[in-house]
Amino acid sequence: MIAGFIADLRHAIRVYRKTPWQTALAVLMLASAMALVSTMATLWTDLHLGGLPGLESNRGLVTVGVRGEFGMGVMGANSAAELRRSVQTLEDVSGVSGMGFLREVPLEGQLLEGQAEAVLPGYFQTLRPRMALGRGLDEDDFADGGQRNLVLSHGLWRQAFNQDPDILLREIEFNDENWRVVGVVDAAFTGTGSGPTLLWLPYGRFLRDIHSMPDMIVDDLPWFRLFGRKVPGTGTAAVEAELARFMDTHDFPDMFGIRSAEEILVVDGIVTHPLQRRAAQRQVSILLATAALVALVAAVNAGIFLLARAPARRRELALRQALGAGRRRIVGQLLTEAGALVATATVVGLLASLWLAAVFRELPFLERSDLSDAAFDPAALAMTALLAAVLTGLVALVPAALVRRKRLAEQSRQAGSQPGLFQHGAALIQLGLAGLVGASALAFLFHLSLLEQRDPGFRADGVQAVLVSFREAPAGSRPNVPQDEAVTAFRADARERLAALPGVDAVAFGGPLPGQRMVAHVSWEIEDRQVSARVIGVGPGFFELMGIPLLHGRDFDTDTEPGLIISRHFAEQAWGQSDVVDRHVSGDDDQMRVIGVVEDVLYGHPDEPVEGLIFSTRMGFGPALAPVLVRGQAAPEQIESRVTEALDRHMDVLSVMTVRPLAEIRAEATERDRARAGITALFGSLVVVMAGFGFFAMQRFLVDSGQREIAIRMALGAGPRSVRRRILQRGLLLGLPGTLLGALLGLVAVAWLRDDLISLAVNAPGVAALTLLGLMALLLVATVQPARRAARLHPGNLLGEE
Amino acid sequence: MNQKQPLIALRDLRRIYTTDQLETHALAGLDLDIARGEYVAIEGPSGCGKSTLLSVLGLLDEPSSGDYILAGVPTTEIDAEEQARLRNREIGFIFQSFNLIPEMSVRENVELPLIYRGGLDGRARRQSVEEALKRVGMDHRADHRPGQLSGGQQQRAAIARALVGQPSLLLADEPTGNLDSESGEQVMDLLGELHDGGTTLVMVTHNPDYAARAGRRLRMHDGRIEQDPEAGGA
Repeated sequence: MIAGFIADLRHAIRVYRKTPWQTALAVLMLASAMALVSTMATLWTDLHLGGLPGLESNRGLVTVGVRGEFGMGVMGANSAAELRRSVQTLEDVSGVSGMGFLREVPLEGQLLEGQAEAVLPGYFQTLRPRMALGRGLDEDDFADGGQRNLVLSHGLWRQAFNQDPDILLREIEFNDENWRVVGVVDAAFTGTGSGPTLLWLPYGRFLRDIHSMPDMIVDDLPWFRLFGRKVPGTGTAAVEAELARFMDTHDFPDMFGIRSAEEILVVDGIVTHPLQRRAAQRQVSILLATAALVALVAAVNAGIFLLARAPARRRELALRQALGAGRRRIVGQLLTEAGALVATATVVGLLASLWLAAVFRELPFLERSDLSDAAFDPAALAMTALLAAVLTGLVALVPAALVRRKRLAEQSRQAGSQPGLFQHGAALIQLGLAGLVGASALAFLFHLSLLEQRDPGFRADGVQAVLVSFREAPAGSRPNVPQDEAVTAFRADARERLAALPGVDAVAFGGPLPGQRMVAHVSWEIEDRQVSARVIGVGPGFFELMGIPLLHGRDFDTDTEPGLIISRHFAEQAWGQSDVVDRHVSGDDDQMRVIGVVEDVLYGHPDEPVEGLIFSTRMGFGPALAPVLVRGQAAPEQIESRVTEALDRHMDVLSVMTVRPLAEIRAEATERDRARAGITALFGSLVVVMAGFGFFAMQRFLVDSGQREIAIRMALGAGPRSVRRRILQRGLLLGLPGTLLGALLGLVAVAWLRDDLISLAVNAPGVAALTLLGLMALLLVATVQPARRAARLHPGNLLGEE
Repeated sequence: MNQKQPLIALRDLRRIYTTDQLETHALAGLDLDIARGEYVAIEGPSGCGKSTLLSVLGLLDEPSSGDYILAGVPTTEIDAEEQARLRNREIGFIFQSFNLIPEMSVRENVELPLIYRGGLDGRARRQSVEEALKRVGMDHRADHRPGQLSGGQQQRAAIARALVGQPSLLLADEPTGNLDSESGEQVMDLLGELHDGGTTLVMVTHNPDYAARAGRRLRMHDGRIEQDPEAGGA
């Protein structure tokens, strides 16, 4: 049996070496598909099956997040405690504070690089990390006034305490206070933050005792990321539904107008950015399905490649049968040939996927989705191997079907070649899938084009933004925020220095900038109604520099002037009209008096509806941190130098972080859309090219194996035009069902994508119609050359006896 | 048309195949006239150029040089479309392996030349097909597929297809080569009847008995006509 297999393999190699270019092309197509499948399978298993290392079990763990860009957490400590008491679908729930993280840990007089996680009660009971020594934090460790206890990471225990087995109950100095070590976690567990964690400590004790924060902030500020472990048999959707009910019914405290999360999101696994994780899971699932479709098209193409050699192979197979080879033996030989082709392609594809997976991990829409760096995952390899087996079967299907028929020798003399079941099926699959993926790609490109065309309400061209930040401060110390006088002096100085630069037309201050991640909405009470808006801190001249039209009232005169300028949308939401100058947003405070109304500006993603905006000289980004905006042609280096000089003189705790064109910052809002459109276009192009090539190869095969029929027709008076027309008609008829199916699948796909991945403004029937036209054009292009080839035949050589 | 003008006139006709720097002279300068109504048999050993000559005569192949005038039309000066039209109107083919299209019925096969000719409505085409099938005794098998017929029946269907367009020239390439002797006889009788009806017939054959039925026997060797009674020998 093995000898037979080796003989078949040797023969397969000889067969492929006879047609090296075609073989290379078939391998390349299959390898591209396998690379995409392997890459997507790796990312998919990572996103869906990957767990936190070092836990007793990852089963049932979920992370609770919120839909929408919400800068803080889900809820405060008190609300989380209330949730923990009442939740039915989770065995336990806990959380980690966004603010409790330290980037450097002051321990025993040293500053260690790493994080300290301030956690809520139930953290260790929920996650169940394996312990190297001792225990995790329990309920008593969170009680006020008792012993301060913490848990060390294995790395810290090794690094700072030389793996001292007697570390338990030892007092150590952390952040100038004494804490007692109650446990050391397993080496594999590195915490729930974005980097390795050195130690875990009770949140309340840490903030209340060490940082002396007010109780209201410690207990109620919504800065917790939550996670839980599902009750066995409970679905994630059920957890999400229960938490959504909790959010609806729970009485959240008012925290300076900052709302708690509105819509809850629960994703499987422990992740730092649930929203991005959910989006990445969906995107990668779509791409995995698309990759599988690409693989299917590639397999059909490889089948066509083998079929194209079928007329020649028929004689060989007939001879083998004549020499006593049974059908099973011949099918085995054909499977070996197909297997050799697919196996070569799989190896090449897996190697290519090493590079491809690294490229995909860097794509913007997979950012912050907690992907690991694992090159190959066993589950992903299993998926790839399964697909390879399926492809082998598919690729071998066509030649194997040949052996099913009897009288092979007679077939070698057949006159005509009409498309059979395989050709009809292959055309249907290829064109249907090309329509599906091509329409999706078109939809993403239209979506991107709509986004790019949408008027943001300001002019970003020619504006450079100087972003400033606090210089590195010693750990535990807080930087001195510059006072108003320093800010005013800095701005006056910076304006003067920048205005002196050649090519500078205008200078202003304002932030956050369009495209920059925004903090939460703020709710305002206006005439007994709550109206929400985002707050932007600006200085005089901001609107003129940005090209934002002032509709009513006036601009700010100074950098510290009280009063508000609001957007038209906010004015109309609050008062039902746009001319609301001198109205008050809250009370009679002059700080809250409207002094101007400007046209709406799109600050967020271009696909989002217009939001209400409030511009103030005293809110939004801290005035000291407001970016400097410069309109004109000055060189970025010169701008940076002038701003640095002004900062050094008036606010030396700050430094220039970067000087970037505003258009570039603005473009970041759509970088995920561009990446999605690019990737989908890549997949779409690949499938369409493969389908076109496959259809072309099929037409070539039909023409080549039907040469005798064409010659007969020519002998009876069919001229070149008639032959061309006939081949074109046959090609179009053969492709028509697949074309219609492709347009239909495209329509369904685009309608489905319009749910949340692309804009509702993308016209699904329009995209389907365009897909239909595109596929028709593809058919025509793929059939023209075989038709011309047919018309150039010399029938004299073909009609005689062989 | 001038009845004295030959139907076929070849002048220094050559057909050279070039492969890998090797030239094969399949036709090495033929001069030949065939008059309307003639029955010509072409004989010769395998590879002597018989089939190539028939292909060139049928406008299925193009000569490398020389002139070929068919029914007064210099065929080397017309394009492929015009050649197809001329082939459709003037020439009927009968092949050794019948060359019927297996996916079509006998009736559809026979109708094909009329479809390519155009200008005839469906009824007129059907009538012509019925007449042609009757003439070869195949009208009762009109709706059968070629695969359902015997070799002799297939060849008779092929003859019906060749004559349905009333061509002035019938070209037959070993018409009995794939038939048993009885079927072969029947086909040869049929061809004889067609010739008697005024059809010009050019037949390639290895069979001296069948060649003897022709009014003129040409013998070919190495791409040349070695023996032609009309020309008085080689």
